[in-house]
Amino acid sequence: LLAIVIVAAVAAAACAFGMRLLRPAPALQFASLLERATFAAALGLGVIAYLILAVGLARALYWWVIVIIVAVLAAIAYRELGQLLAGIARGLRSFFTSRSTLGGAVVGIFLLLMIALAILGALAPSSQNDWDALSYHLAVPKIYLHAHGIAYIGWLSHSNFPFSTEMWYVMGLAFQGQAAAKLFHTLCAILTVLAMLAFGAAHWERRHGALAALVFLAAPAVAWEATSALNDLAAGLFTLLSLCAFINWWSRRGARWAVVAAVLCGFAVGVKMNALALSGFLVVASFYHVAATERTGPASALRAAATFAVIALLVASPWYIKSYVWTSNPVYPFFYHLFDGKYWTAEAARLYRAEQLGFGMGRSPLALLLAPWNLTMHGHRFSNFPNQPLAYVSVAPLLLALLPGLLLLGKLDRRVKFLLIYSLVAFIAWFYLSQHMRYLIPALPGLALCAGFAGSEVLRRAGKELRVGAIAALALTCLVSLGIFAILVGVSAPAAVGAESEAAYLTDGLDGLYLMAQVVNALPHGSKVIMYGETRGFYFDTPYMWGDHHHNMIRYDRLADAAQLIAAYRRLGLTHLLMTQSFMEDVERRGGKLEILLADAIAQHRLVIVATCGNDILLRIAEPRA
Amino acid sequence: VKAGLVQSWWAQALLLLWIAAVTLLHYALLASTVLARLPRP
Repeated sequence: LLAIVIVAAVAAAACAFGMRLLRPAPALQFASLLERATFAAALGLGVIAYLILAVGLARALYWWVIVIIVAVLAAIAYRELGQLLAGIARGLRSFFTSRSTLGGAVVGIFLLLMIALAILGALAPSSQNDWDALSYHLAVPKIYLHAHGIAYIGWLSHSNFPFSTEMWYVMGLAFQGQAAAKLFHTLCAILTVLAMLAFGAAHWERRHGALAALVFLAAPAVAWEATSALNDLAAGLFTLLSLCAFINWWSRRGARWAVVAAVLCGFAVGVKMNALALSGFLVVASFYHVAATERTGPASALRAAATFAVIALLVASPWYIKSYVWTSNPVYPFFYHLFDGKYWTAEAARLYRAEQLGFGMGRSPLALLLAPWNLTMHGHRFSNFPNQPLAYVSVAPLLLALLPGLLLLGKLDRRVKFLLIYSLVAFIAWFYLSQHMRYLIPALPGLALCAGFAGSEVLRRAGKELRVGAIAALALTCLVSLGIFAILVGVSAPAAVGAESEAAYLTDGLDGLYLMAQVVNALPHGSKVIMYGETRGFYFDTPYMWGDHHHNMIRYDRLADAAQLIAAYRRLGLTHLLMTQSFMEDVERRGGKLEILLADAIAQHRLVIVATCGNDILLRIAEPRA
Repeated sequence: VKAGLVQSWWAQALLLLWIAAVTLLHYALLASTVLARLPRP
């Protein structure tokens, strides 16, 4: 409960501060308090992320410093905080007292249940479904907090990604623990839903936005993400709001909306590099918009596009400058052939690219045409572990089922057209960069708005048979998605509410890794572990580093024998190795250069097995003989 | 809002078929892949 209160308080402060920044003006009109509040919350959260980055770089990353940051923002916006709280009270009163249609009530209940389940899921400790969270989204913030500052981590390439979301995780970990951290990602899902409701009500009707929110949350992949400390939903929130602000720019003729769109676009690029496609699209769109409407010649259109690009890139730039300064590559570790990059090699780049290209079902033009179908029907092929249960967490059939409804509606609404063109650009970028379902999530809110619009219009205008069919598809999807999500969250619910201890839950869920973390944490002071075949270090308090593929701090290819390997370990202050059973099998097979060195070191008793927990083995680096 | 093509019965029938096919096939495939991977007694 404390976690929920903390995240709600931070969200309120962020929203109030954002509302202060977004004071209504002739060039910035809002359709409702809800619309202003969703833009404001995203803006405020973005500002908080950069302030935490700043104090982190200044090596002043203490919980009380972050409290001061949030308190100062709230104090600056104390009037807006009052307006916000009064608005929330009014909104809740009208929500519970106003009469609604049966359909509206069912959609409302579905959204509330999904959000309640997401919150419950987020309260549980990260376990087997949270690989990336345990490897770096939460692990890096924990390292930063422990060091009271943000510094270069050479062995963890992912720590050089843009990390705005992870700054909220720093805050969550500092204030409470991983539950609060994860709830910030849940908050992104909630704000996305609210933004869709606000957009629907502002531009079309409430039901369009409500159906869009249903389509979005009914995707089990989205629901699962809302329980985990990843960053795709944060990218999705900023992407959606940036697109909405852009639409408000041309539909309300408010010039300041262009600035809001650019800033939010910059925040999206500060969350995930994939959003660079969004910035490119919006820069071109702003040129086109100004050229088409103002008729003042291409110079003003160019100026508008350049201004948009400069604002968006300036906002995103701290992350990319940081990467450039620390690694000589602003988009580290990608585009190695262009930028090079510290502790990275052509071989590491090749392996990483091969992994990224391993997802999906091919890259031929035919595969591109079939991708929406394949994604819907064979979703598990677009994931890391096609044979594991989580792979069946899909995008649900509603997008593919409802979007063709747009073909029946005659002349298309130009907001829908705009969102569709963006979705197409994002989809093609996704198709050629890396076909992981998760990477598509930032584009889903915009597409869900189109599907929500199509579905609502079909339900309004079609004959009885089609209406019944569409409602049946919606109802079936809601029921199955709710069922899948309830099963997923149900497994962790006892741990989330404290009925099962964290230790018991994680011992069961992490196949020995949690127990191994306890063994490692009990090692003498000064110990340091290198991990092979395992990257999930979040539960380790003892210093550790990744061993394979993600950096070249140890050039295994240049080591002649086991003695040199041990010497390299010692130079890095390492005392222990952790490896998975399957990695040990590779070592026993002498499957590669590193494996041969390790096998020799074990045979020569330079490495000694000291513990085995489930899938993990701990080895001690033996003291040199006198 | 203009009525558009939605008034035509065949367009509506096609969309109905599409929605039913996509939804049912999605869940049929999901169920079959999940069932195929369940541990056998």
